[in-house]
Amino acid sequence: MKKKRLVSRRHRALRNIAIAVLVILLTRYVNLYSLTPMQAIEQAKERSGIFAPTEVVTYCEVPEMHRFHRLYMIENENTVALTNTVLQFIGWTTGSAFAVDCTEDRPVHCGAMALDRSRDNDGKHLAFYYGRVDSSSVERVEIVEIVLEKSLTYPEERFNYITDTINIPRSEWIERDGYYLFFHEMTEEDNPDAQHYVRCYDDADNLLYYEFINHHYSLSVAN
Amino acid sequence: MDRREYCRQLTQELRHLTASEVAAVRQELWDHMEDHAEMLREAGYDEAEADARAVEAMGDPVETGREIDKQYPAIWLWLSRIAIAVIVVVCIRTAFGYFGGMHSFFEILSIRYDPYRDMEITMEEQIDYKMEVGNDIIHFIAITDYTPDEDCTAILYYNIYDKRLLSPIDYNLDNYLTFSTDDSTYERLAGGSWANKFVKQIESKINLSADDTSILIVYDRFGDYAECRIDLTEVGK
Repeated sequence: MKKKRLVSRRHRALRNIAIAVLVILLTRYVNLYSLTPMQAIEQAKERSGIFAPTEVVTYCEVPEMHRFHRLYMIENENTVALTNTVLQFIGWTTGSAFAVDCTEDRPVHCGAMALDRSRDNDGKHLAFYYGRVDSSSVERVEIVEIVLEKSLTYPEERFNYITDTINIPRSEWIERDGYYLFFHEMTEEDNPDAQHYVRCYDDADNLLYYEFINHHYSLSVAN
Repeated sequence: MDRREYCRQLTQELRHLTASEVAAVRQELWDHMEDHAEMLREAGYDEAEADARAVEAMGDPVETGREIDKQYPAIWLWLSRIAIAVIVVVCIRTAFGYFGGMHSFFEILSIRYDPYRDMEITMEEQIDYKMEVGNDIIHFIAITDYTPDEDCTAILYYNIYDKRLLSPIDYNLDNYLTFSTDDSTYERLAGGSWANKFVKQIESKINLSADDTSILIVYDRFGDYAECRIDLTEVGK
């Protein structure tokens, strides 16, 4: 009869760890988790219709949401987007990429995302404004918050009801080949009636363009 | 002291070993003493003496037991248990959390290889047009309620899946399709859909006039452009 060899604890532990790593790699293959934030970003892009390669422009940690929560700003010549990634027990997870289409001919393309940690909501949330400036005559981008109590005949009238203003001057922009990118993080009041507009100005501070920020995403994390 | 008593005394000192480890050590010792006794018997010793010498050669059971006990540090046991826990958690999450159940997994396969499963579609209503958007495939599979040479509201059936079997799709891809007939363009069509992370089945109502000969479907977003023209003259034949 063949005798069974005594297996040491070390040998058994290393074998089980190897199997665990293999299982994690397999689940990574089926996109449950990612080993790196970059892989999580690729998943988010896939789910959001961004199929072309992108570059990471910048990222910020958002410990207010989760100890290992990172927000990445990515871009290519046709889009700029924010992606949420969170490091969990065995890897990075993600949701969608919050994308702004930059293919239309406009001086500025702007998106916004609000992050709200719902358990201890103190009436404020984290807001991120991001986008791209395509016109070389723009010197300053401004985000304005407007709270309207009545409907108005002329859109410009709305700017008489500004409740908050954020300035993002050229010095804060990130230069790319032929355009500039901006990313601004702030804490702001929760106000479901608030509307946000982006305005841009030339070097003489003349208003060149404004638009309603259509891409206003909101995400709550209940932890 | 016989072999059994030796093993009993020694295993009493194995305080940090699990029951299966103790059993394995006991078996190992037993086999070792058996081998030694066998050699002695072959050398001419009688059975009782061979057994006694084999046991004696093993040394003090208490001291040997303590030495063996030291060879089993707890850290490896815990690492091994943690690894098993990770395997169990990951497997359960994969099976139930990711696919949304086995039913969804079969849907992922059937949409690719048997797109008409559970559908009451005749051969005449079936079409086969594919459109590639990035890694996603839009597969137009059928048009029902279509009456050539008459104004009608037809139903267009199509599926979305990724080129790679277990990669997620752009869940909102169909919202960015425009449908054009010879004289109308529709940004969005009314209808219903079923989806999970990997596949989406959609049925959309589209108004067709008697003169329409084709439906042009266009995707144009984030710099990606794709189009597909469904030839209505082939439908119903």
